[in-house]
Amino acid sequence: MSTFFRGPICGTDNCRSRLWRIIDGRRTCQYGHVMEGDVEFNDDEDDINSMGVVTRRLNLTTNASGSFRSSMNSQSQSSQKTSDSMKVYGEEADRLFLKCFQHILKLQCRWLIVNQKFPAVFEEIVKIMWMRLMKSLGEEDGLQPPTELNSGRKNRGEKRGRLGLSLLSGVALLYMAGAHLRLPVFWPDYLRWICSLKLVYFKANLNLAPSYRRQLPNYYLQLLEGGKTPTGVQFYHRLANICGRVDIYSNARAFVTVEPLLLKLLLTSRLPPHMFFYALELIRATETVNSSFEFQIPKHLRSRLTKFYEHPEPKAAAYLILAVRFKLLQRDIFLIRYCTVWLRFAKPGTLEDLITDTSYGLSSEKSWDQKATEDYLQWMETHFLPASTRIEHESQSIDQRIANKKLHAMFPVTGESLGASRSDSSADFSYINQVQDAYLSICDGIQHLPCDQDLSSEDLQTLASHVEARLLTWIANTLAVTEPQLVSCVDHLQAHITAQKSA
Amino acid sequence: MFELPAVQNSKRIRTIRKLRYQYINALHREHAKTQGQINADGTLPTPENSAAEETSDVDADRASTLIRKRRKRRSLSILGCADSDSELSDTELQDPDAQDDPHRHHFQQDSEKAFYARHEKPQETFESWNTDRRNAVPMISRTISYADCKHIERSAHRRTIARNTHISQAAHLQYSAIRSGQEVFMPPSFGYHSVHYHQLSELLHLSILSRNWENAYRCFSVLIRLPGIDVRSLWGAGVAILDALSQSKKGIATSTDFLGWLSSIYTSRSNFNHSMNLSLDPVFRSGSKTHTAKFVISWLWETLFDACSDINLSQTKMYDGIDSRLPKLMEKLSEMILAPPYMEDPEVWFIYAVCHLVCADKFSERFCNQGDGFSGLEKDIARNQVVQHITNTQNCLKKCMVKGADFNYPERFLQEQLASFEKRLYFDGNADQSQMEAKSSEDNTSDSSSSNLDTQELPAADLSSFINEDEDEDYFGRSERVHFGFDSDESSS
Repeated sequence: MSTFFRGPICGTDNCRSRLWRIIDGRRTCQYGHVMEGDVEFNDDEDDINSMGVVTRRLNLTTNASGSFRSSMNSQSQSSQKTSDSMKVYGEEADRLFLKCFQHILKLQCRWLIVNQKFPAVFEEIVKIMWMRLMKSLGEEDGLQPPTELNSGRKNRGEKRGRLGLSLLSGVALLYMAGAHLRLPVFWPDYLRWICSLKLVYFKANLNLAPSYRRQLPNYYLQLLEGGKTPTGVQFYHRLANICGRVDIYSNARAFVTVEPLLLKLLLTSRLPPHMFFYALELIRATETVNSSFEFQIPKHLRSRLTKFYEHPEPKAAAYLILAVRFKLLQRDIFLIRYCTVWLRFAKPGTLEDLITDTSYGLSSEKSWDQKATEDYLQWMETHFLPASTRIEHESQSIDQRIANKKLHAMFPVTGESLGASRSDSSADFSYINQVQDAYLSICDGIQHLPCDQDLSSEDLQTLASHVEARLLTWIANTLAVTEPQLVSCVDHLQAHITAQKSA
Repeated sequence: MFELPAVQNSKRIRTIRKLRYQYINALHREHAKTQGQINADGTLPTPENSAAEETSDVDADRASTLIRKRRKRRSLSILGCADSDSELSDTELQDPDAQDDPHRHHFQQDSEKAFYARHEKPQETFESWNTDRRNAVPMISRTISYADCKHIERSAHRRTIARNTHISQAAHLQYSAIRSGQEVFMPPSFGYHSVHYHQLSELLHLSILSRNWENAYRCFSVLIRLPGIDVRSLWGAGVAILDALSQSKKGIATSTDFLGWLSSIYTSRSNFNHSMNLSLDPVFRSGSKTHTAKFVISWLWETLFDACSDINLSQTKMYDGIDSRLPKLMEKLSEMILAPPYMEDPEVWFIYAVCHLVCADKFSERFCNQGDGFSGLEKDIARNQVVQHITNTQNCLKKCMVKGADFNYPERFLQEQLASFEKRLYFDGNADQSQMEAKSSEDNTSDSSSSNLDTQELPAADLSSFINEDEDEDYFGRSERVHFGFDSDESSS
């Protein structure tokens, strides 16, 4: 049987086929119609010695290592490869996915403990939460009696989806464990670690064992890919969902301590430290909280997040913004002078902030200075590149690998040696220095400000609105929420405060 | 802002492209129906008429061009250019307006192919500027009524949608946008990795624009290592960076090496299929069986310039004290011109011709310098060498002319050069040599500008003798060259 070739329309019984092949010397169309009067005779003298032996011409080419390979051979091999797929499906796939998820969770915990100096018990807490979550999965799965098989299966198919897990659920688990241990780590921190590829998140599937990756179905692999950068709202929604499923309220602390968060927000936005106490005062006046300023993580199992303002972090941010507004409108002289200077400075930020903003498309290279560009490139070479090319060599043939090696030798990456020498501790100090410098420069600016400055109430209001607009933008970026969302949060809080005052 | 050099291949893109071409084809067919161009009988094709459709369906215009072509081929074969008729039949197949028969749509499953059968493919008109006024075709200014137009659109829509009942909503949306004459802007993906890919490629282009080569180099070196990035769509940037940096920076390759790597890795044996490679680079940049990749051409030129320059001649490139770069290049070229697409590319032939030209120059110069040191036999051999190279140059130039009508080069100037090389061979005596050379070089420089304009300047007899020389050699022997009359005795000995 030979391969198909194109020819005239067959036409027998309105057959549309244009593809022909030779079967036993007869020209036969795709659908088996034999063309009349077209018989091919085997005129060649058959060699007696090679009777029954098929002679075939192989297109031999050499590969990069110099050995022969035939084009036909490679084709047949590749077609075989695709046919026996190793993927598993159904229950088995779910189990495998849970295994993979657990592995990624473990990697994340380990990184946090080693690099961010989390206590060793952190891993245990995450483990307990993960076990509770799995238990809830099992309950949802409905260990229904096999008698009502039909309805049970249908039910399960609807409910389970993809087990309701995503990489963000993992981060939510970490967050919950951190909140339980009262660690001063919040969503913006996790986000920055994720975006600068320090915490395993994007392309997490590359960290799996090759055998797992080969067996895991594609939809689960895609789930572990990461995809878009998660937004704050997504995270809070996921967090509330997981909290409900794990039932954290009966077993662990479901409270977020806001003091460290306020401090972090202050430092990133370079507001004066006084604001910290003003904000706390405002919280004390409004909320009925105990001395440690803890907000509960809300729980809900709805599919959409509606009460965004209930979450501790946006709430704390809103308190800060309101405190700044009230204090400015109160004609706090120092704050007015401070903010006048503060408005002159551009957004401060570390490399991680830069990368996070870039990941959301908020920052582009056009606004970067040389230093930022170099830092970004450095990060590209040291973090992004190794993370994205982790398993590339596995999928390549030896030819491709040799060719790529040659290409890469032509363009050596310069930053590899540089990046290794730079340690994390120096980065920490540089951050502190940066903060110090920023505050000092603002202080400088205040001293150069003319003393006798009398603002009219209109000027004051414009100043306050400028400051607030800027704060909103920055904090929204930090929390990875949109500005309108944060504004609605602030508005809700203000309405709450006025209601309380009037009551 | 800049195009991402990555391969995008998703099902959504594929579906939308398919829909677009199906709709356009349906429109075209409906329009042709209203214009009465389609055959009214509408019988199903049988083997007989489908086999004969190539010739029967054509209208009078097309038939006349066919006849003209056949006549031309016949006359050419009489003239002795027998090898060119295969070439003529090739152009006949590729003739864009030749396949205007609407019958094809019934059989071609690939709607994109059907579309491109009626239109010029982008790769065929790449960098060929048809500015000749004689080729200008008046615009078709027929009009149809609004009702007709609506009718055509509606029935085309019905046809298209009947075949695609189960398409995704996004595809349907895009399809309806295409129908109303709009183009849907597909924003770049907001996935984490693609955002950073974009960022990096923009940074690369901006650094190149601002000539910040260090940054550009770093971007490039990261970008080529990332998975999913096609080097073939970035090579221009890479060459520019290497050109700027390879002198000063240690450890990186030269641009010639890079181009050589590209030419050796990316074969041009593959057929370029548009419907397979959706967002891959266009064929004129990445190369295929029909198109020489541009990086191969630039590599050849770069190597040629490199071989002709005396600087940076390292010991490794020397073989027995002789510069081996040019022979290596010629060896490579002689292999390349045996197979398509290089066989059909006039520029490759021209480069080959220039190689021979340079060789002829070198050998004839050496012959002049060492003329007295040679014995009679050695002199003959050396002279033969030069003559061979000159003949090869002529042959290659002729090929080049045949292969590409659009390809222009200073032919007269090259012929003069060749003539001056040949003059050297038959010029005796050291005294006049320098004078002669000075004269020839003067000729080259001063006459080249004027000779382009003045066709009468060079005696016609001279030129024809040169051109016909290689063919007539067997019949006339060396006596033909007595024309120069410098040392006919020695040449015959």
